Amino acid sequence: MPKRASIWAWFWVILTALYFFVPLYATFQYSLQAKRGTLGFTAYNNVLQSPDFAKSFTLSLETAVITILVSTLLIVPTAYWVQLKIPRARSLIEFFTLLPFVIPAVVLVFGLIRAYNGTGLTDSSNGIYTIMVGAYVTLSFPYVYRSVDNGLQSIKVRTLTEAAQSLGAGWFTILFRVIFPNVFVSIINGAFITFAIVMGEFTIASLLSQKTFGPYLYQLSSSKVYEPSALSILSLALTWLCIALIQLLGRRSRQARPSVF
Amino acid sequence: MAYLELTNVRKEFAQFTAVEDFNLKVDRGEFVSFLGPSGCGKTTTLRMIAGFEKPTSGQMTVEGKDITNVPANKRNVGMVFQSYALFPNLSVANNIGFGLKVKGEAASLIKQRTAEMLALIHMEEFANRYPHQLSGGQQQRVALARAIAIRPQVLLMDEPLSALDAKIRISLRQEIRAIQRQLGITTIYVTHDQEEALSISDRIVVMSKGRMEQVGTPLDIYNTPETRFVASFVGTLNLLDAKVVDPRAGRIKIDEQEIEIGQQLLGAQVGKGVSVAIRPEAISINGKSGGLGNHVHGAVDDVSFLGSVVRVRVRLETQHINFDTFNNPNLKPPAIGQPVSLSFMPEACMVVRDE
Repeated sequence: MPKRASIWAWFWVILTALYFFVPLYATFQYSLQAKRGTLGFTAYNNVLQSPDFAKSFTLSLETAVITILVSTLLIVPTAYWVQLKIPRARSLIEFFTLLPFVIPAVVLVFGLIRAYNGTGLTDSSNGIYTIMVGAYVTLSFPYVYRSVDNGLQSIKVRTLTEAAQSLGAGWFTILFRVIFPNVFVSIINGAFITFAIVMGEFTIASLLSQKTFGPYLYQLSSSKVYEPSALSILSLALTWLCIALIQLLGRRSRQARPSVF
Repeated sequence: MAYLELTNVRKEFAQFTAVEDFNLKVDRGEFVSFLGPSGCGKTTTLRMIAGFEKPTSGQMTVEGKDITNVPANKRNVGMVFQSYALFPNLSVANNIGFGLKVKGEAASLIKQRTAEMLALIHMEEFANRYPHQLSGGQQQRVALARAIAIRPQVLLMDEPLSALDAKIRISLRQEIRAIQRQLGITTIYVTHDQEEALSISDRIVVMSKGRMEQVGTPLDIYNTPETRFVASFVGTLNLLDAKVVDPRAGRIKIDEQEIEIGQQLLGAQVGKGVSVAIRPEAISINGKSGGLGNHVHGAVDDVSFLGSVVRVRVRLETQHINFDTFNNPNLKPPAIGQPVSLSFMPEACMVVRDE
């Protein structure tokens, strides 16, 4: 009986792997066929040497970093304050942070444009960029909040806060010398997921006419043949790299601090 | 003037009164324990002194300065927590130096003071370790060093030994007391462990239901409990219901057996019910205390072997009385059902208030 179960388990694993990897392999194979008759990295070279690629990639990179910073500075103190002072409101805050999952990006963008119309933000390119960052910060809420909240749950927030207070620390010191370092891995987890989302995001950037990596990828697919596949593989590799880094940091952290609290 | 003074301190949480009418004067260098069961208000009182809770009313002063409304981080009060509360991201040395760093002390001074503290707790070789690399006892010693590194005016300890095993608890409490005496630091210690409070304190505040039941030295608390609660909470005690027979002569009867209590019961009427407390160790079997004492008769109901001591429960008529006798391998303990005569001196009887 166990042997039969094991065979079926392997069957499903292999089937799922095929479902996932076959299209991926096909895309990769296709991206290598830019030069007729031979397999090579010509498409990758073309992509990486394109000034538009560098521009859009850099803009997305900048946006991702700003999003992560704003999101972290907003979420960590909020999650900390909620756990410390109003723990009963945790589920309510969690509900709010999950809203980006149910509100489509199109609705979010039009909502933001309507809300900020006439404030000056919609009149300049910097203003529109700010709206886009704001939208990305909102998109990052479910990932960053959950991650930070879990991190805070694993340390004794109240006791550590009181210990720091009794040693003379004010709120700023407590937040930046006690709380932030102890939820650093959780912040990194949320940050990498945010990074991956922002780097590949298309709808919001496109609706706000921002030339980030997502719209560039779309534009490329309508004018080139092999390069979009190469770019898809590159963007997937970037996401995987982020996930690998999360795993690595998480494992290191677990090895460094096994069950203190 | 008292060094630390709490006047009419009261704390309410919504409909619940956690602490009421709390008045206490603590001298400089004194070691005072708050002793009581869970929910008696001892930790809430400690947290008010620390500044983590704001009193609903009342005043708290340190060296005459009103600290009632001073924020916790401005009070210069060191705190040791039950769960150690060491900062997991900092090494032992950095944990100890944290308070000094926050105060903006020079790096050289922080280094020197940290070394002093590490020497005080005999953990010099652990300076670069992290909290998770230490045992519970070591973590609590570091927490103590961290709390006193800032030279606090008052040291507060909230059940610091509760999470440790029995052996470590005893050695660490001796170490805490030795350090406290050496530094002359005014200390408030919260515990629910009566043995801990009796062994470590200059004075004990016994608390129940948010109120102070009795304040006194460990000897006072143990030997002359003022209320039925203190008598029953501190140590093992026989609490017996009795009736007054002769108030002037201090004679009462327990289950129709008349005894003398060594004090007059002025104001009490004949036949009035009183509570009498007698420590098990003050009672001996079969008239060993001589002819001057009280004698009551009963039958052995139960015998418990407690190692060095054997506790015997004797049934009178409706009530039970326990007595302790040292374990003597050459003597057999009394058999269950055996009729016995118990003797005790009148002075061993304590009349206690019901509240």
